Amino acid sequence: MTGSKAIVRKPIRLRILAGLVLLAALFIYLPGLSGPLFFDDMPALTANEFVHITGSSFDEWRVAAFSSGSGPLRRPIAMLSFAANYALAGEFSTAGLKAVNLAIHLVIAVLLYLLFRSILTALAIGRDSSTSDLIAVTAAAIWLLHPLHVSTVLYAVQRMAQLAALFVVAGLWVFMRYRQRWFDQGAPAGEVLAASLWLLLLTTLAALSKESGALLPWLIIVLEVCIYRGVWAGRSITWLRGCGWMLLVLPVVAVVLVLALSPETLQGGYSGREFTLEERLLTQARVLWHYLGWICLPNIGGMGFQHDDIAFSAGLFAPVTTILALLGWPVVLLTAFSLRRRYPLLLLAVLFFLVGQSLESSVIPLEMVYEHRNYLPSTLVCLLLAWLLVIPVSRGKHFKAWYPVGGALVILCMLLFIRVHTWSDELSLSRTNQAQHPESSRSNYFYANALLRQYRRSEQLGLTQREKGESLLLSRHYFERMYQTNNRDVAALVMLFYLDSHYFTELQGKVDWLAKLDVLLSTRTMQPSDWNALATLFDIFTSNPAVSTEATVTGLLDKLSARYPDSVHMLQYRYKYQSAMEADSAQLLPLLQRAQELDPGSFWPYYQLLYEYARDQDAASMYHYAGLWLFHDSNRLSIHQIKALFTLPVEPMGPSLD
Amino acid sequence: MLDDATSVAVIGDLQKHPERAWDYVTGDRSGPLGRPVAMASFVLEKLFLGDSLKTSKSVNILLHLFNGALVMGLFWLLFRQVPVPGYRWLAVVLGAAWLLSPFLVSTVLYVVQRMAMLSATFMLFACLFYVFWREKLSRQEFSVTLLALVLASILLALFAKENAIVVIPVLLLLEALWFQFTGANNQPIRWLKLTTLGLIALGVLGVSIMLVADYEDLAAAFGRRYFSLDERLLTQTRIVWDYVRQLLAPEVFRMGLYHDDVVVSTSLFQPVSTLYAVLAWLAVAVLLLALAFSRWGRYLALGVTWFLVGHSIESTVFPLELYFEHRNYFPGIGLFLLLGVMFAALVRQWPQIKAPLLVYLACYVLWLASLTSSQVQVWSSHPLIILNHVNAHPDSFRANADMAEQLASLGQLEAAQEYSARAFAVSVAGERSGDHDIRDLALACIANSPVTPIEIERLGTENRGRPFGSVVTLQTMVRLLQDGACPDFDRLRFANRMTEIFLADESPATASANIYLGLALLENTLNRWEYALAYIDLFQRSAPENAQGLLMKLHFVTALGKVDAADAVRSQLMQLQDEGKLTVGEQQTLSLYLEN
Repeated sequence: MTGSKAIVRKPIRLRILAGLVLLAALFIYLPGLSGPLFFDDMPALTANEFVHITGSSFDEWRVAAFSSGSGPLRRPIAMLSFAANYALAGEFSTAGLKAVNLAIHLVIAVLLYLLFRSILTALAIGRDSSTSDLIAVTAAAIWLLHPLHVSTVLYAVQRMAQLAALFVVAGLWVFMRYRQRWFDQGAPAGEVLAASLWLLLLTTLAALSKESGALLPWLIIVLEVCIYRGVWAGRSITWLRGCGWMLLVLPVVAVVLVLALSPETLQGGYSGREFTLEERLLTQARVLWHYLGWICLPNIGGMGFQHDDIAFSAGLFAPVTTILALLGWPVVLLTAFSLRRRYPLLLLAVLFFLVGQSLESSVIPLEMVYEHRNYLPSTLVCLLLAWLLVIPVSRGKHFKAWYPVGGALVILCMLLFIRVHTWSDELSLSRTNQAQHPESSRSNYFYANALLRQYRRSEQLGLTQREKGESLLLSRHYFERMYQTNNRDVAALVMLFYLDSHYFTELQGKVDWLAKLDVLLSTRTMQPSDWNALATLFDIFTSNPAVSTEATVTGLLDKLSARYPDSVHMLQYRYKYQSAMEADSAQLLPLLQRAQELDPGSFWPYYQLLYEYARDQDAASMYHYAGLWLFHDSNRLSIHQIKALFTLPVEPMGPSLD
Repeated sequence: MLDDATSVAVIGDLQKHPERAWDYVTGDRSGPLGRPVAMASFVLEKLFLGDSLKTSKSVNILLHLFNGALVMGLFWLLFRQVPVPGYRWLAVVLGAAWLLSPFLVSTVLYVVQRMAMLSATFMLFACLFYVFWREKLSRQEFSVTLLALVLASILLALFAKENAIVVIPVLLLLEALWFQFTGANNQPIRWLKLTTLGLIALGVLGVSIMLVADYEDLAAAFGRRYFSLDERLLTQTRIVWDYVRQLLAPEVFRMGLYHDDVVVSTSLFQPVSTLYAVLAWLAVAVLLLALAFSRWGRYLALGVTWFLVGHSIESTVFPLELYFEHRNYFPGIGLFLLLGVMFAALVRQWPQIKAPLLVYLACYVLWLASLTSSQVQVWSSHPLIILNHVNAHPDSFRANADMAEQLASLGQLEAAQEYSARAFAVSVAGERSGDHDIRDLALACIANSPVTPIEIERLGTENRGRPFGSVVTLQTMVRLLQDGACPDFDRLRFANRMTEIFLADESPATASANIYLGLALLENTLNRWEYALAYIDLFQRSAPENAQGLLMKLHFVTALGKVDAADAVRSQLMQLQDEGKLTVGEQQTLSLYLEN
């Protein structure tokens, strides 16, 4: 019996394995489809009226495609897919949204298998095609069943990352198919041009799903330098190899030059963050190791939806792991580079991982940690892991490659099952998050909010009075815990004020949350989540004015306005509050006009201006602002609303607490 | 909108008076041939489909779809002829690009532009029949029927809109640059070559002679415009480039009906973009000459020359307005043909790129479709069109005047007058202050707001010799007063002021004939026949044989009991009737006076 036969006696076994893996992924993920929609799902989907379409007119699709506020390209491909979900179901059913995500996950796994197989063939890894097939299937299975990806697959809005990954993987596969032929036989110019056109198209589709998809050309360079190394028609071409390496390092050199010559270009975006560019770069060196750790050793206890409990690296030695992490990356890179002939997959996986992370884990002022950032970069690390799993045992005479492969996949299935189960309902997800990240302010908030929602839906859920009371009590407890973990988080103070003023009135005299908030707002660098929390606070004031005095509310507004004189948020809060206090249009209109001037691309001031002018029966001003709205709505997203103005009465935006 | 009022809205209730249908078919005065084919389509539509704007626009949309199919068919036949790999998909995709171009929205959804669309329909038929005829000729079959169909299509196109004359040079170019006179076994057809090149030479010579000989007359015809012939030619070099840009890489925000804010090129350097435009066209001309020396070069040249020849009537020496989007309806096909030839040339060089290039073209069409979709939304609401015009063309007289009217209709006179003042300020044609004053009075009437006597007395105090220039403004005012739109308006004071201006014993002001006609109608409404007669006499100085004028005169002299005068007018009208110069409606009106 030959070695290859020992690994895979019949190709059919591989097909069975692949089928079983796909089925396993499907069945394990199925319970997770009932999980909740949360966080970014709200602004992108549930609160985004432009994507709530019937699908009956072409223009609805056009508007839905460009309705995302995320990213400079607005992610139209992803938004179209969400619009299709809504149009088919007539609503955003969580199961429908997540089922599509799951389908995309399965398709990517199949494409990954094809990509891995072509990479292994190109690198001549494995004694024969059966070995490389087994490695490819195993790698795709590891990626497919990896519990780290649950927070991408079951988080509806992360379809953006999924679709970008789908097009990138498809692009890499297309490149491999062409390049392998060119490696052996070379190619006429037309074929190179055709391949370039296809790859440009796939890059565009990927970038229009999520901007990180624009990394496809750079990832192709990684494949070129690690696999083909400038070989064309069987001959090594020096300039081609040199070009590959030059193109690989060029973006890095460009960023370093910008950092050295004009750091303010990058630092500007950090004004809204509580960390600096330097702190982010230092922290990301550690975060990347975290990511790699999760991929290689999928400890679901460390995973979670929020990772805001990670300590920022304030210096090379604070914490000391920063310097170790920083030194670790060059060491890994140098090692992989020096071993590139013997272990090409190592360099390939490391470069692919780093390039894949380069957009979201470097200089752009995004939040520090998100698991979905590993969705694409983890792919070739999975290939390396599969290789490590199969190759050592394949060298023995009497080995059973199925044992390590089967064992690893079974473990992954179990971990995936547990994590999917956790993600199958909001309470269990938030409870687990809180338990695994007790120092995460957001995890506490998320759990407390889930409990509060349970309290509000107690009748619908059939809770007893005791359970209902417990939910409320626990909710307050975790909001307070949130405050303890981060006493500079505005949301904690707002929610505690809300609970004490509405449900725990007897506690009101003990702690004056508003006073604490007042103090905090003097120094806090406002984050996007803080503005959302303040919106909730002013919703509380407007829906129940008795919870505070007008002087207190006005004082808060004045204080914030003094700190942020050009903040449209402040004008919106003041408008809502004064509107609820039945101020006349002479007081309200200047607020709205100022908001429109400050942010002419924001739609809400126009709505309110038109409402106010309609109340005053001032058609001329209505026309003036409708014209301005049309002028500043360059993508004509609101065209249907503006059109409706001339046929329907204008409704004001109602306050909402949720 | 605009010309809808003079060509489409004038068609009366044909359900009640079907006998007048022929009057409307032959009664249009928009062009020298009367555009009976286009008018017949309006008449038939009103007879069988009813009288609604939605129906008219629906017919236009269906016609556009049909034209799209014809464009696809033409591209199909042309690219098959070359031949181009994947020509079927190429024809469909390029036809779709033309069909879904946002630049054509203002043609399709502007009812009266059915004239341009129908003429394009028949021009396309002419091209298609020519291609069929030519294919037969290549097989050494001479089809008289197909040639007759070509000629019939040209005639029908001309009677839909006169600019269809450009289809003749387009057909000659099609032969010279596409078929390149090849017959069976790739042998040239000598007689066809001689005929085609001879006709082209004759055409060029004829046009050149006409331009040189009639240059003075042509230049003089620009007297009623705010730009000269030279200025128009210079400005068109910029405008036609803008057409190219709007067809291939559209910027929908600027699109619309009103482009009267376009800056006139007064010299090569004023604005300096004129120089760039002229140089760029010269470069195109040189390129075309160079392309003429190779087979594929001639294919490429056809698209460009199709576009330019398509514009040769409306974008050159005639004193038409400077910029209209609908002028690109037929010429635009040339640019998409050019894209197709570029595709073919690339695919010929590198066959591997056929599939990805087709996908790119399909993506381009999708992009055009999304732009068209948003533009259609703007065109689906009258207020949106107005707002979009004002936003995109703040210096357009028409956009501001429209906005003023819209605001007045909502009772917002003050804001309306602001826009009216802005319209007056930005009017490149130099609107007379008297027209501005009348517009403000009309706005007050629409808004049903009071008008002070001073505002009426102020009329005609400037430019005393010829205080008013806009027939439309005055006629609108008169129609409003006739319809009783503003019952509190002092009509008598207004009419008296007009008589002081135009019927004064000493140095009366003058105006165009149609202004007198409008004032006669006003006096008729007030039953002041003497004044009405005086105005119609003034009208008749310019148009003594105008049947409408004569009928009005007959009405006025009859009302005044001037029997002799009535007899004289009656006999004059009967003579016209005998000569067949009266429409059915006019004959019916006359018969009422004959019975009495």
